[in-house]
Amino acid sequence: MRQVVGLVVYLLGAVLVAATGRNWQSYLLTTAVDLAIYLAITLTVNLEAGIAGIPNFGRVLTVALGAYVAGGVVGRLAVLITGQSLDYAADNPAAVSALSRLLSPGQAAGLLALAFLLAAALGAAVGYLTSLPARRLSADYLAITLLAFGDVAYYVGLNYEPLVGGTLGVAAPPLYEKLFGGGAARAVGAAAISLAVAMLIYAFVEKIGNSPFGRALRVHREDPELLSVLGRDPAELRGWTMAVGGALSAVAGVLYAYYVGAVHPRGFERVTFTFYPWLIMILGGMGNNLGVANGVLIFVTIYRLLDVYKYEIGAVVGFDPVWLGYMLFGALALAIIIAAPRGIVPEEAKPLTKPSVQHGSGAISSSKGDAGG
Amino acid sequence: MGDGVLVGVGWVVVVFGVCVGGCGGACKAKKYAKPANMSIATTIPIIIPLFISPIKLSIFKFCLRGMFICTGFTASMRKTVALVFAAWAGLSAFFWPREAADAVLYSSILALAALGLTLAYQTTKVPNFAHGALINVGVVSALTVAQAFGKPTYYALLIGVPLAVVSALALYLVLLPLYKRGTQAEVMMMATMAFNIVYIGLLNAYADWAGRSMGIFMRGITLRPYDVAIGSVPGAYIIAPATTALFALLLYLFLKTKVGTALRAAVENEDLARTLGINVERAYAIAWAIAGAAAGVAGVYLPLYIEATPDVGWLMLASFFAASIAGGLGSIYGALAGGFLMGFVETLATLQFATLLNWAFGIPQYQITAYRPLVPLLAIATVLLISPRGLLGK
Repeated sequence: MRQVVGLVVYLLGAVLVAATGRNWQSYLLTTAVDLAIYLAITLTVNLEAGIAGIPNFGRVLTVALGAYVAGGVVGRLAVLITGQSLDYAADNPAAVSALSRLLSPGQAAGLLALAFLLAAALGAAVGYLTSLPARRLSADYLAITLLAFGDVAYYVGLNYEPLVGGTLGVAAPPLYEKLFGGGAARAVGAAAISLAVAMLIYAFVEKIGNSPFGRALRVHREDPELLSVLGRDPAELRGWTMAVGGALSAVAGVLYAYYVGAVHPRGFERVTFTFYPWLIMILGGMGNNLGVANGVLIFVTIYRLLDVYKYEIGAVVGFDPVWLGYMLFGALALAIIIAAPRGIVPEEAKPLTKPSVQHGSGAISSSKGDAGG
Repeated sequence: MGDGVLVGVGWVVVVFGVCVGGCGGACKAKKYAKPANMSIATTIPIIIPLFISPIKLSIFKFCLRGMFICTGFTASMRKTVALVFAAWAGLSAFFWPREAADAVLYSSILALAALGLTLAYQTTKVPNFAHGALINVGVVSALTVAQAFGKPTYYALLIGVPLAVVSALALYLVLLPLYKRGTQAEVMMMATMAFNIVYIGLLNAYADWAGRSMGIFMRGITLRPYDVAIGSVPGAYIIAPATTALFALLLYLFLKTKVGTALRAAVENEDLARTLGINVERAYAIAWAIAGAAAGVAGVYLPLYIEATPDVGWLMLASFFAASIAGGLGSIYGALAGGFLMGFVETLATLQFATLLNWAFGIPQYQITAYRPLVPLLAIATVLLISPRGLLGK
């Protein structure tokens, strides 16, 4: 039952939307993209924090980086291959309208693939770089450092206009439009691509988690020094983990940018892309990818229902429902941490060592998570 | 033009002063012939050759290596940093009196904020990501009181500080069971962040409501018009540093009392304190209350310096942490020093650096000063690379 609780909540939400006479097709399409993007981002947080024990409170950094690549870099490349002489950031409206005339679907597909590759490469590099302080810092100092790093993309994007147009932002190159056409077809295509990429990321992260590398990460979470006893360099392991996390979250950033159709640096702040993924992970169960999937379904349902009924809710509470969302999500996170610290779908404890004598034979597997690592 | 040269020299002095401090650390760590007493007098002869270009590069390399190897600052090196800082601040005050006054005001606020952050960290050992929320409580109180009653901002201390104390205690009550359960550090941090998000929601909802029903506006508002004048000077420039000094003095005196001693004992060794019959939970609660009070005061003063919003504390979180880390999260008086160091670096150094770049490359100043929010995070990274326990920490 616990394994499908997210799905149940999500379906109930969809039924509610349909029953109150809203456009349920549009609701399903929107939530599908939300699910895909938050699933991808949260899986990387789960890989780093839940499985490897690296407190990455700066997730937004690589997500923003991916979006900047999708807008600023790929946009320029698109202008270049269509033979224009416009600056993508400065002459953004002209460049985008020229692109929607000149770009062929084949070029659009190539650029989309290129965007994923570039974002992944840059995300991996930045992820690895941000792991460097982790060589010497304990968990709490590292968390502060990563939280601070998380804002770099936000402030640089906001102030350095050639990147993605500063405070005004840029419109993303019209790749989805060229691939799928406009209107509903674009929404369906965006949902399909996003979900496919998210599923691939899920399979990949799951595979990593069950590999020898993943087991080493779990050892690292429990005790980094134990890892060096086993002949592995903890710093190197952290570097690789954060490179993988950075690459995958940057891909999620690309998905986000092309789905929204624009890149606004102001959108990349801590709450949206650091706190929410952490909330989803805690909600679903740290260290468990299936838990993350359940957490995403619940989170997106609440998030979108608040959006669908924002006028009704706003009329009742008397303020912007965005703030009600903040209160709800904050309270939800606190409630989970206090009452059910292992989340909805707790991680199955796999003993890393032979059962110790004191615990007796059957008890070890259930006691690990409660003790809190 | 003339300013630019001076700034350039000043900057080189500061940067290499820190580098030389780092070298001292390296010498000590690697058991090289160590400088007997690194003071400003011994630093100057080392700095002067740095301007001669052939040896500059190699010395710079050595300094960099020193900075990375060095594991901690000794007392004499801390003295060097303090002297270099004081010299720089003094020089700056002479050439940029207005900006230096602003820096003092900002530093006072930052020092109080860092003090609270460090105090809370010492008890439950969790970096409090909700410290910005406690500050926001003060900010919102100040904005409300000043605009609703048309009184000077300082009256808001009567409401803002108690509210911030209550909020801090509420957070402590949330964290206490987690702390006792031995929850992982990252989950505790996540709890503080969640608490912070709840508060951002609450305060923004209140701001919406106050704007609509009372005509009190809270987004992008400065309270400088609601300041008192002392002579011809806006009161904040005198009252804020005085408050910080008073707060530090009171805290010092408090820590000498019986309850304060119990608190220090609990922080030093919790289990031992318990066996001596000290009520550790109560001692920590007092520490959190003081932290909340410091945050409340800082929050009330903040709109006198910048244009405030209900979530300004959350946006400035990196600055608070930078100050606290520069002070070495382990020492509350270090937090005061860190607050002043980071306050000056963030305001004056950013400005001087912009002036320098403007003079050297003709880059417009505003293009550099726009990146001021990045200064605290650069500082965090630099400080932790030089010394993972903070610049002034033991």
